[in-house]
Amino acid sequence: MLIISVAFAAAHMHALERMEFPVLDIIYVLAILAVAAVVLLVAKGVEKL
Amino acid sequence: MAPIGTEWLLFAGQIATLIVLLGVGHVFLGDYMARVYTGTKHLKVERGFYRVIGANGESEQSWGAYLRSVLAFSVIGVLIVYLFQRIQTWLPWALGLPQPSEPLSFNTAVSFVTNTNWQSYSPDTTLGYSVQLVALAVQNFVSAAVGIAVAIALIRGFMYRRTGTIGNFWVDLTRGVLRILLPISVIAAVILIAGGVIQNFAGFQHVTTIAGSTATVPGGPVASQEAIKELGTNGGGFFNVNSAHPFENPNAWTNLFEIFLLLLIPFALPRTFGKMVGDRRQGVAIVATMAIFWLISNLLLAWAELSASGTAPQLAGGAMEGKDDRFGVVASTIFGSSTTLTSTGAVNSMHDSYTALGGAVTLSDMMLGEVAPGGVGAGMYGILMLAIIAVFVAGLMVGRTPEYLGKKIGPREMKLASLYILTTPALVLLGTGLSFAIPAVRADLEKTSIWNPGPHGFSEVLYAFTSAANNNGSAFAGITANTVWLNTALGVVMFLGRFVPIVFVLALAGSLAQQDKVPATAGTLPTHRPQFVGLMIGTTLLVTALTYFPVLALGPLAEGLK
Repeated sequence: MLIISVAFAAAHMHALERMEFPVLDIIYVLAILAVAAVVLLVAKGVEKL
Repeated sequence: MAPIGTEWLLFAGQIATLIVLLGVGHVFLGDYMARVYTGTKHLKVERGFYRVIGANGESEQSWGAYLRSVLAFSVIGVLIVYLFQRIQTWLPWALGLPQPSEPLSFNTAVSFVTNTNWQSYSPDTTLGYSVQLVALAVQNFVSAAVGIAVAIALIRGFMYRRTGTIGNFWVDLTRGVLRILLPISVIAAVILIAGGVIQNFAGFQHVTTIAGSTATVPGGPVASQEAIKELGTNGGGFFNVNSAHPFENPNAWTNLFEIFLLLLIPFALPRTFGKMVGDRRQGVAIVATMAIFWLISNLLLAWAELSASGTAPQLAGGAMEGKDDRFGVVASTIFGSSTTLTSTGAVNSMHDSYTALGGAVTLSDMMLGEVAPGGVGAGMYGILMLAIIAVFVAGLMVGRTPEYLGKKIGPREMKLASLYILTTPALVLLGTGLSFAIPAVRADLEKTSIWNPGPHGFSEVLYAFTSAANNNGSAFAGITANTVWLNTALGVVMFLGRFVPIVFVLALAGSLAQQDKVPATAGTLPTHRPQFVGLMIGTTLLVTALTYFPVLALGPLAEGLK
């Protein structure tokens, strides 16, 4: 789902390219935290296996 | 180019030299690493570090705590590398270079923290010395140490009985950096300097050529980066053309030394494994499996490039496009096989210019899951996961409960091993598929990124996602990856490709550590004999072939059969 979300964001890449500092920085920092959260969610799921 | 017969002699000589060097080196290093990770005494500097970060070096962690430590350390690493790039303009030794864009900074930060070292940029004209040294080189050390730490944690799962703990991440990380990677890197850097690799802070020097034009000659602290680049199977070069640059890799013997460096720790870890589990024969079986894959890949790649069809390759005695004349075909293919099999990603030739079948070999090397011998640590835990699947398959065939090293491989262990095996292919195939399935992304790829139409262009994108998901980092040089889509998607794939499998590895380690050991019986499958080596090779090939054959048929195989 995350990759699909990123794909849709990239589909609007020209809109991303027009964004100015620090909007895009904030987006990418949030993306880093979001991907880490996905890994933690996987770990949570694994505990229930 | 030498005649074909001479090229094969050169091939045999270089492979034999590497086997001798690695045969001796892996014994010393493997035994030393076992002592490092089982020792109870902390160095003074290590105790000081634990105090600074508030860690208790004497306590052990559960798999969950170990994972949270790995993840926290790595996420902070990504944020720091991202920040350093974004403030490059204000840092010393920036060489007047502007800060990289946000998507590129994200990609590079994730890339170096995950030990991938995919580079969507030309390093010598994008990053100043501060970012290269303080951000990237530091990650070269610590990301490699994280990989080794996770492998050691899994090995402890087989060692421990009813503990539920798998070691202490902060202790493993610190020892990996201070006792293994740093000392070897210092020695290797000095050897590389002796071989002609540069080490300075000279910046760019403008010189007038004999013809009267001006040339810009780059400088930089290259040797210190080069050593850990290979030793840590990182692969991120100081210069854009990586180890094809004469300042990074000046001659034939530095080339051989760099190949030795990138293979050393991955081939030594099975020895460490054997020693830690108390049965060296188990390590020999693992290292034999790795070595057989490595030899086969080397033979196939050299054959593909030496027997290339077409007038130019026939006249040159091999496919020389994209290869440096200093190295010729076989020194390029041995480097190519070794770098794609170890998740290093450094290159001394342009893989995009390899023959279609040669390109398929490098792709397949990565698709094996980076286990032959794989990245530092990652190769070891990857092949242990395959060993568990091989044991399970053998158990099914004879109708007995599978065991490996006295630990029962039950439903939970098999689920974790299966999820591990599925994660990377899912990321490769999803990433490649989405790149072509989303109309706007596809249009952008075709307009900006792909230089070659048809199956070769498809192979370029497939190679990029395969390289990212397997944390390899090498690229088909024909692709322009510095776009919003590729920087972002590859960054996400690199992160998930590194840490989701680590979740399954550490969970498995925790699960095994909780078990007691069951004594071997007449029905226990011997896992130290050639029969088991064959079983592991078969399992690895079957898993790879079944997963990737359709997508290989669309890319390199379609191109090769055209």
